[in-house]
Amino acid sequence: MAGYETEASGYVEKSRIPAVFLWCSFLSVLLLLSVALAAGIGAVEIGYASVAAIIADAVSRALPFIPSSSLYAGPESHETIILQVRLPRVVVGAVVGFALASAGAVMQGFFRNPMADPSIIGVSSGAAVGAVAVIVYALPFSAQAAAFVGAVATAGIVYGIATKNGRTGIATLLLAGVAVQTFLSAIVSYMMHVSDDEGLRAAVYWLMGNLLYKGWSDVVAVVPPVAVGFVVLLYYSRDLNVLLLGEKEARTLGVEPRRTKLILLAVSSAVTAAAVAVAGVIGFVGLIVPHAMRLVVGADHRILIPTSALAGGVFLVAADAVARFVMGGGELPVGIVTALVGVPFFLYLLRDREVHEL
Amino acid sequence: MISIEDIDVSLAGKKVLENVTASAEDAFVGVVGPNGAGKTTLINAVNGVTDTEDGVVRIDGDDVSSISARETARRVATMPQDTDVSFEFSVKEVVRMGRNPHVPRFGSDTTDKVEEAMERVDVARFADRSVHEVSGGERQRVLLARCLAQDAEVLLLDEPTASLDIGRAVETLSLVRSLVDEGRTAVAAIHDLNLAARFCDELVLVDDGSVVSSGAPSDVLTEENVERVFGTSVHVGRDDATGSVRVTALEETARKERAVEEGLADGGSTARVHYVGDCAENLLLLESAYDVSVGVVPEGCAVADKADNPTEVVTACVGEGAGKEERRSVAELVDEAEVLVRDGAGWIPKDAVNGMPTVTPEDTTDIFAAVESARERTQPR
Repeated sequence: MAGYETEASGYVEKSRIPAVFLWCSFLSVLLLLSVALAAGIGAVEIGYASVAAIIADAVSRALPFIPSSSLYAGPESHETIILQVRLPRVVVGAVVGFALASAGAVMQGFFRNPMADPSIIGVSSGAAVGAVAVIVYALPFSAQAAAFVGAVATAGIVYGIATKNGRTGIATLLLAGVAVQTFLSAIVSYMMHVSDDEGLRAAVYWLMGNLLYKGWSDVVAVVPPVAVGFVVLLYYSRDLNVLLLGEKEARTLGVEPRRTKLILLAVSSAVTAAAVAVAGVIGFVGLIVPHAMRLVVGADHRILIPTSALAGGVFLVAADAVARFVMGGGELPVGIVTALVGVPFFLYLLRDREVHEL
Repeated sequence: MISIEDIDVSLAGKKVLENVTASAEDAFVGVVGPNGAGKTTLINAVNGVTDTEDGVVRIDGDDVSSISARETARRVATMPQDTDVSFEFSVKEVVRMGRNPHVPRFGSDTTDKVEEAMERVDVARFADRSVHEVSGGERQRVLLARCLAQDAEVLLLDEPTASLDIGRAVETLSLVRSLVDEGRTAVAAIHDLNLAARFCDELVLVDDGSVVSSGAPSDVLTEENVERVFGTSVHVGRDDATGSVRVTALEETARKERAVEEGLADGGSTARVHYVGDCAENLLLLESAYDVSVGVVPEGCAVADKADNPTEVVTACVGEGAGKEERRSVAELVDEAEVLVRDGAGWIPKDAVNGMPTVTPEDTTDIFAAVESARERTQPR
């Protein structure tokens, strides 16, 4: 992973390339470490040595060309808990955090506003309508698929509303996003109002955002769109830098502003949609992580997008670990933790740093 | 090479350029004209930022609207007036963006163009500072460095010296001059007529979206052209130090002196002239040595305000027209006058007009000559 990011850093000062490489390596290691540590947290106590051994064994079995190891010699139930219950959940958390933070970095650049988040054009609200409709009316689709479709459709509608004669105004897009979000929230409220208690509870739980009961099938569902989308975003990251100069200047530097903006918006919305569909509305990851990383690595999106993505993974895995840890044997939806940590940080930024163009 | 072939451009439904034709090849071409004349729009039509409604802009023979942004950016580098970056980019990062059209997406820039450009424009000293931190003048040079790093045949510069002090302005234009001497083509919108005349091979004078004149600076910057376009009196001479054309705008008193000196050179005439009209720009008349009376003109009009002797001015409320009182006063004034200047509508005693030497709006570009010849015509009387 890290090597790939470094290649993308074409116009980074040559002496800074090792720094980028170091950042990405450091964050990758941190991500792996947090995944392993998070897998050790839960109702059943399993030592970290055992967790490490179980994961190492599983990895060696999964990879070709290396002999399968058998370092773990504990109870089989522990192996099942780690591999079938905790690990997929933690990996989903990592991927969702990765997706939300990379999309957030792009949206902040796109809107030239450090307070933008990945759902700014209504992706989450659209996902909520899809998922809640399936839950409340017991429709014959998966809530995940309905959420993804709802999210992408909403992004498309908002974009359509904000586009006139081929031009898409940033402010119009922002306001259309807010209006459509409010509208969709009303629909969600209505559906919850007419729902029975069981449906209501399930809907509320979905809306809070959580990683409960995530299995490998969820990993399989979320990884491909996020991976493909991430590569596309990285591919356009230098154009995004140039777009920060404004559309006219970008055009004189060889960037086709309208096409590039459409691609960036569509792909980051799709990446967000994939994450929200699998984990519900988890707020503030996509806002705080890119913002914090920008303070550390600077505004160059070719560095900011990959480092934000990795840091987002770490952040959500850690938040989820906290969510499970504080409740002891119980569970706390991770969205609550990210909001509890995120809102104070957001307010701090609001007070401390200049907010551009709002 | 750039060729602009009879283009029309509209912005927000308003025609900003109309039937503009110009070209530039291996030369430094300055675009001059008053604010809002369409200079920036002309530059944006060449680099593809603004679509033309009619006509074609060609770069090396290719229609700009048919080649990609990337290809255009390889051929044409644009230096905007200022830049507006929302996030903290360093000076070096901004200069590096000039390499964008040349560098493959996942590749890196293997040339030294960025370093060279920063050295040449003298911004290397603050390469690592944020573009927000540097002064407006320094930022303009950063943008020029970006332009150089872009390494295009054609340079378009929008007011490249707007935020620069005189030393840096001359330095910047000399640099552009030397780039042109190395075989590039440069087109610059330049506010300062003297700098434009000094550094450019050719000038294009635009006014209200049309080309008024183009060619060598000395042919374009004539007193007549400049006065017509800028609406102010000027003196055009030669600069002692550089030998280039020098345009000096004249202030009110200087204009008056000049009016006396030039307009009334023969005979030192102090003719009695009466002005009537709708208050067009005939202030020059009032600044001459003529004894000018005015009326009837609308209340509050500039001609009325400028007149030396208020008793010789008759005004009327707009819409009401001249009353009995006003008409009598005007008739008296006209009676005393030798020449009548009639600029547009306005009441005048009918009998006075007959046989009175009259100057009409067609003559007003050279009001003094017109007045003098009108007087001569009546001498035998």
